[in-house]
Amino acid sequence: MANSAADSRSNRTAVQATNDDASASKLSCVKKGYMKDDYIHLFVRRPVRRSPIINRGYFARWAALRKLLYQFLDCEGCNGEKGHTKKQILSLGAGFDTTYFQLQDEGKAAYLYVELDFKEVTSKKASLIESCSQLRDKVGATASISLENGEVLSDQYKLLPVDLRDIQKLDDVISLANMDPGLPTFVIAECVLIYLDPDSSRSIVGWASKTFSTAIFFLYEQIHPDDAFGQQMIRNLESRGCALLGIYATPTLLAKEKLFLDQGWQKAVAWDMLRVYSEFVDARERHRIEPLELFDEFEEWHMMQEHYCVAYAINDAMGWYGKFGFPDDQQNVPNTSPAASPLGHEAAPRHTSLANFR
Amino acid sequence: MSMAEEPLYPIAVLIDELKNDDIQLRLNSIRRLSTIARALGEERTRKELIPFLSENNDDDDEVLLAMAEELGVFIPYVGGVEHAHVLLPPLETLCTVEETCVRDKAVESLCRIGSQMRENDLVEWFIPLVKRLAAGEWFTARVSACGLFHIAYPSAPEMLKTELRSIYSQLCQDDMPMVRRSAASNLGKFAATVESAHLKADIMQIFEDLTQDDQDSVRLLAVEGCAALGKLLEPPDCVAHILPVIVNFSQDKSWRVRYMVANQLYELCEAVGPEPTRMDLVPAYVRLLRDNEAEVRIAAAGKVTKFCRILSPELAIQHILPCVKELSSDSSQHVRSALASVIMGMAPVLGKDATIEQLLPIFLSLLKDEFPDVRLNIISKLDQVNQVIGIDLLSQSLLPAIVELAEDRHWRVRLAIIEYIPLLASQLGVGFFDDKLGALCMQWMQDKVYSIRDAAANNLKRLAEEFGPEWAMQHIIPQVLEMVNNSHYLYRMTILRAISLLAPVMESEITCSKLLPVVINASKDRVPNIKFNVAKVLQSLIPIVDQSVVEKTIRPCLVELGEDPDVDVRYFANQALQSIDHVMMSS
Amino acid sequence: MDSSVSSNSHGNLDEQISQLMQCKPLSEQEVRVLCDKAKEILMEESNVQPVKSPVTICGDIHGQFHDLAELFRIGGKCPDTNYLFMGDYVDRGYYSVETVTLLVALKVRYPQRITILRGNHESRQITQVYGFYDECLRKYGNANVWKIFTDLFDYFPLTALVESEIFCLHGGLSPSIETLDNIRNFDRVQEVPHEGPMCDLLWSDPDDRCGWGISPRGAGYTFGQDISEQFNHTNNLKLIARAHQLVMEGYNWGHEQKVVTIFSAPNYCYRCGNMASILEVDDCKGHTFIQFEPAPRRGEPDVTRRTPDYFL
Repeated sequence: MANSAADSRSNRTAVQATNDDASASKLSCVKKGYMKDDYIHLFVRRPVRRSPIINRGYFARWAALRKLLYQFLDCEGCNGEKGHTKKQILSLGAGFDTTYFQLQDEGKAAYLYVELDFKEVTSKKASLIESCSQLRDKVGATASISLENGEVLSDQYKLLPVDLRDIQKLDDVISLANMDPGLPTFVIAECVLIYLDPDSSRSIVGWASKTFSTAIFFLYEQIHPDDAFGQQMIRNLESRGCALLGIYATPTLLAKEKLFLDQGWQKAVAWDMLRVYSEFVDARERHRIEPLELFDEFEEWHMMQEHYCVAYAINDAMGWYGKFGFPDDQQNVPNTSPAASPLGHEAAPRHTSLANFR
Repeated sequence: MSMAEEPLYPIAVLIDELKNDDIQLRLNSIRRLSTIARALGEERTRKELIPFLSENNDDDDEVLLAMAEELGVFIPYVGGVEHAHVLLPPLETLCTVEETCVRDKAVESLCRIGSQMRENDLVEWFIPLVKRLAAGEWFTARVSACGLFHIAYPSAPEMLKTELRSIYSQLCQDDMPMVRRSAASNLGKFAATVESAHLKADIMQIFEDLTQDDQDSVRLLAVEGCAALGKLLEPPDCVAHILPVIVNFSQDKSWRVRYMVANQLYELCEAVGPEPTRMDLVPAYVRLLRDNEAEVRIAAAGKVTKFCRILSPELAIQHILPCVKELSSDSSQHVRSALASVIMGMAPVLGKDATIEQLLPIFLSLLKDEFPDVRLNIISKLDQVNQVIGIDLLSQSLLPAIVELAEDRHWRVRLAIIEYIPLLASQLGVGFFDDKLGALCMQWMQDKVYSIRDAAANNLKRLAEEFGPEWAMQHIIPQVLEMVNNSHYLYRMTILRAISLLAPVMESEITCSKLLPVVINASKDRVPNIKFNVAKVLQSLIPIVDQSVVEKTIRPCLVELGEDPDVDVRYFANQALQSIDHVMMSS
Repeated sequence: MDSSVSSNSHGNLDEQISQLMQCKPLSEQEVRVLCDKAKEILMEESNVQPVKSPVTICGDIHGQFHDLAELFRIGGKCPDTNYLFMGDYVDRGYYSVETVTLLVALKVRYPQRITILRGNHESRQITQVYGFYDECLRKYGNANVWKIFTDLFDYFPLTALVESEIFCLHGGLSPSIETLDNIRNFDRVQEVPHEGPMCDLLWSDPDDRCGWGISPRGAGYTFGQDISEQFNHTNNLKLIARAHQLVMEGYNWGHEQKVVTIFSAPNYCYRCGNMASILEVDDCKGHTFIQFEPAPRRGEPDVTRRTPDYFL
């Protein structure tokens, strides 16, 4: 097919290809033992081995999302009985994410798990689910799967095609998926909004805030486009057709928080991944994965992690989520490093040497 | 491996190799497919090899790609065109795989085979294949189908033609944007095979639907179709059907569509002819030059010279030039860079007066641009302007800018300036250099960057050629020789390099009296690198100085260097000594 | 040395060098012959190889061949310019094979003009993780060339000493090493060990904190300014020049100018956006850093197809 020049900076196929790239990277992590995922290999046609920095970065992202997701799922109202509250998860631009299948295995499944993506992606995912009994079993025997529509509909799981930029259709899709706007809802957007134009991102964030009164919005994506590393990141991603159209509108942690607050969320917190990794991801987990591979990419690791962030926003109509999120996440905490521990060497991130290099 | 060593290839061995775990082996055997087919003979190729390949479609993309390519040239191995249809099934399967490049290659090979097939074979085998793919459940099949219509259509009987047009029209309305994109991008090729009566009715309807697609990625492929379709239509039809579409596209809400228009506008102008261009397309182009999306301005700015060429100078000056002025201070460096790479070409279009009054100030401001690519793009095309306004005027206005750029932070900018100096020299003459650029030329000899020093030495040689030995004796040689005592060995080496370049230009007397002693003296340098470069310079002097000087001065020096403790000094000294012997023998 | 013999044998090598300069790899057989010659030369060199000024000192290259070519455009060609490379020729970039073959070929052709030290990536273990092994497999269809080179790496000197003043090495100091003689005395011909002095020289980093620290890399140590000052004093050194760490400006002074980090891979991994630099030590021992950016990559076929990984 003729690849037209205008496609060069940002095109849909290339952005969709990021899904394959992400799945292959997750599989690379799984194979090295960073995390367990019995399903991702079913979605990867050609396994690749990623370098340790990429494996560790995907692990950090996975661990952060997982920990916040558990907090959300485990949180009950004061008089709620464990497991009685229905909760739902909405994954925007879900791609071939396997969280649903994993949660099923872990016995942590939400009441309803809804995944949205472009039709090209949902068709493929639907067909893989249909053709693979391991996946099919998990969505339930009564699930209806339509390859032509790119849909999977079961009681607990819905996979639906939509162009996220089309806000009207989002409402339709939500009701088609039987989502209850009154239930606590966890919205996931991993490297999704950043590919959209800023107006669309704002609309989606605003729509989610208006739609769900008790909700967490989880965002993982790039920041800091303006320093040397950031400029190079922008150039590289543009050259593979995945321009980060949204990054200049929200280039910093503060801007990410403001994106949510301006769109009506009650609270928003953003940390860069360097901090998320060293202060939020469980130390035991870090110690488990760090020896998995020879690691010789420290300066690069620091830079890379400083250019990604996790932001979450909270709407808390039920008053359940006061303690949700990162530890001590008041923004005016002066020093971000953990209480000076006698074992400072391993606990403290090595900002010191990096600072010299700027 | 040579042919003779290859035994008759049993199909079992091939199958073994094609199932090998090592992808490289599988690839190799696919690449040898024609050899295998020759060994098998035509009949076994048709009956065993091709069916086997049709089954073997679950391999790595790289293998499938190679297979799709090989099959495209396989007609001779299956027994010629009358058997060509046996190649269709494996390619049909490849048309449905996930990987785009495999599908594209399969479509390409099908087209290649189809264009050789006999008409009734096409009706019997090829057209049904196209119809099957177009009705495929999986969208990849339908994507591939779009690229085959232009081969299928011409041989089809009337009824079938009607059906094919209607199928194509359905593909253009497919649910999957990927399919619509493929239909849009293949529309031009298909339209070229359609009779003109149907062209205006069916095809233009399809086209108009595509231009209103809700996906910008489909619309922008329709833009590409404009030029192709335009060429098929009579000019009045073209103006009636295509022009309004282009004008609309130039105001499309998606910047990518507008970008495409900006890129294609020049070709579109050719399709609609000069008059409508002036009436309708100039305003559209001006809008694109002022688009609020930088990407669009980049594309539009890069076409400014081409576009002006099809306008009258008056129109260009009236409508385009004001935009050019704005773009020269655009907030995007890439816009300015695109403009800088073409703007010099406007000079011949606009003529001398407009160039001097309007373009020159723009050049000058771009020459001072903070982005090095912008500066480089201007400098590398200066000669286009020389011819229009004359070097005198140009150099007067450029000189301050050149002096500034001579010290540019970016070494490639400095290099571009140095390379421009000999041209300036030849056109300006001696006077200009004595007081202005001479100092700069010497300064470059002590640049931190090796490539600049090297270019500077070359530049001195070209100046000496231009202005003659006497001038060089006064304005180059003394300054050069002064630097031979620089405390940094790499800078002393640059001087040696300059000497070896200047010597052939200077008269032998000057070389022997002024240059040679300096070189000989340098053979006592403490740094071995200087010493072996002395050997190299001496070697280069051998043919241009008198035999007696070689014997009296050069050879003794080389002999001494030939006994240096450093191995490289000895090596290059001996090379030079050998070269003396060669010269002696041949004379 | 008989000059006619040497010029004949050099003829072949000179051709190979100009082929390599165009980023075209040698055949497996040529690599084998080349590495045999290199081994003979390198095994004669000291663990602390003495080097004379003037010399241009360079840091990590990491298979970024086109940027090595740019380095030569900036610093001058070998043999006209003398070079000292402080290791990490392979891994990460797309052209480790061409890069290391060229440097080894230059070493064989001009042993007096170029010094090539061992970096922590010149090792069997790490090249299997970071790309050189895979690249050899891709370019030669088997691991022979990887084997030949990693066997040769065992012979690379670990450190160099410029005019008895500048101590050059890839990583940094070791708590088990007080004097240069300590280094001179051990047998370096082996795979880089996981611990011990030889490992430390290739893995350690200077740090703002005093004394020795545990390195986050899991090998080598971090060492403070007190350590550097003591070492320089003990050994009559003016400066420790080392590589190993990405520094955004291409060079970075530390420990009150007792230590300098030099990094010569611009836009490291095609991802980091950093400058590169080299250090010219001239014949009067003056120091000049020259910074440079990545070479324009027009016409390099891989550019559009391959971009470095991110989290997507």
